[in-house]
Amino acid sequence: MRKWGMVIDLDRCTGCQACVVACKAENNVVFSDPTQEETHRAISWMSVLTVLEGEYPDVKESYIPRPCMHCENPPCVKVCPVGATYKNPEGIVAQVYTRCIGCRYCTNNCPYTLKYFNYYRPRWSNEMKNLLNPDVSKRQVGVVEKCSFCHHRLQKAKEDARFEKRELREEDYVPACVQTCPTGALIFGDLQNPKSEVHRLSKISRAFRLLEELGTEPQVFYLTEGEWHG
Amino acid sequence: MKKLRKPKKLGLVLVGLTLVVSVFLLVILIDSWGGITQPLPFNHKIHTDNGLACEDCHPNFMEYASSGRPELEICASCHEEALTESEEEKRLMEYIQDGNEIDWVRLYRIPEDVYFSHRRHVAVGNVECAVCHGDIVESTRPPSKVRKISMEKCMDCHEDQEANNDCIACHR
Repeated sequence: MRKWGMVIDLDRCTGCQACVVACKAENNVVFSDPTQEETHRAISWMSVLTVLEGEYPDVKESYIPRPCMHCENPPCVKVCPVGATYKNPEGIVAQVYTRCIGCRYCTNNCPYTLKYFNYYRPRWSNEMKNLLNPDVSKRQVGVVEKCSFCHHRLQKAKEDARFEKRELREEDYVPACVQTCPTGALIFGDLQNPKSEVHRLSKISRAFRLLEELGTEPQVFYLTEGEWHG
Repeated sequence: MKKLRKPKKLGLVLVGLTLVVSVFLLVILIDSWGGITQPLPFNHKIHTDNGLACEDCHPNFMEYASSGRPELEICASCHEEALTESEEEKRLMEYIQDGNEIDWVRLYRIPEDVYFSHRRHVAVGNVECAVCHGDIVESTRPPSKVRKISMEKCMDCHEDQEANNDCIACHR
């Protein structure tokens, strides 16, 4: 069985936010206004944090893109009272929106704060209404949503492979953020496959994971030269 | 005393009876809700008896998620001239002459959060049309109600066929 994971090379990330936009467009994530942003109610499955070091004019800016960590040991799953979020056999932490009762236990228990509650009824401009992705549902008010590693793309890739009577190739399945990253800072693949690039990169000395001490075992690895001071 | 009680009992019986009748009528009303009337009373049986296969009129199910409802062009390819003297065909010929697409009403509605692909089921999984669509090929009149497929039915079949029963395999 495959175990999908991501490697994010922080030294390559320019903070361009292309991944953020690609994710929003691919997954029908609602647009947020400044008030929502200020009250921490904005939804962004992929968010890029900016870390500033030093004083002007000697400032060093670094960026850290954060999708769902798809933890091997996900704290959000443990507290869901209705089984709306679970770890699927291929390592994806799934969210079933119609099952979610909106209790927000999972959003509170995610140490990375990467689960988002729909505080508001989703509203789309007329231009956007025709551009929504039919492969992804529109979430309703009162449910929690999160990055799915663009799971619908995996479904399509599997279907195509079976239709063409061949095995699924690793490169058949790429999430929207990875596909769009102009600097190649995001790398995606099967962590179980010893020949895959993500497997190799996750083992090198530059690799680390966020809040590793919690034992959540994220399936998103970060690469950086030296210590990460984020 | 007895004389005074009688009208009370009758009143109760009448109220009870009215309640029962109104509930019965309500049930009928709710049941007929969502009833479908197709623009033409299409006869599946007559077409399949004449050698037409499902894919002749629903051309997409091997390649796309949606199987597609037949476009006027497909009807017109056989009904260039009237083949019978039936009233239904006369109405079809009017559609063809006017060039107006027939606005067929969907029989199966999939919930917004469910992804269903015909290609995945038919072309990849080799599921026969009748497994979900029953004996529609034998019907002489179009069904008048939306057909519902329960999640239980999907999951039972997935279990039997050893297909993926992971929630997010269908719930997008």
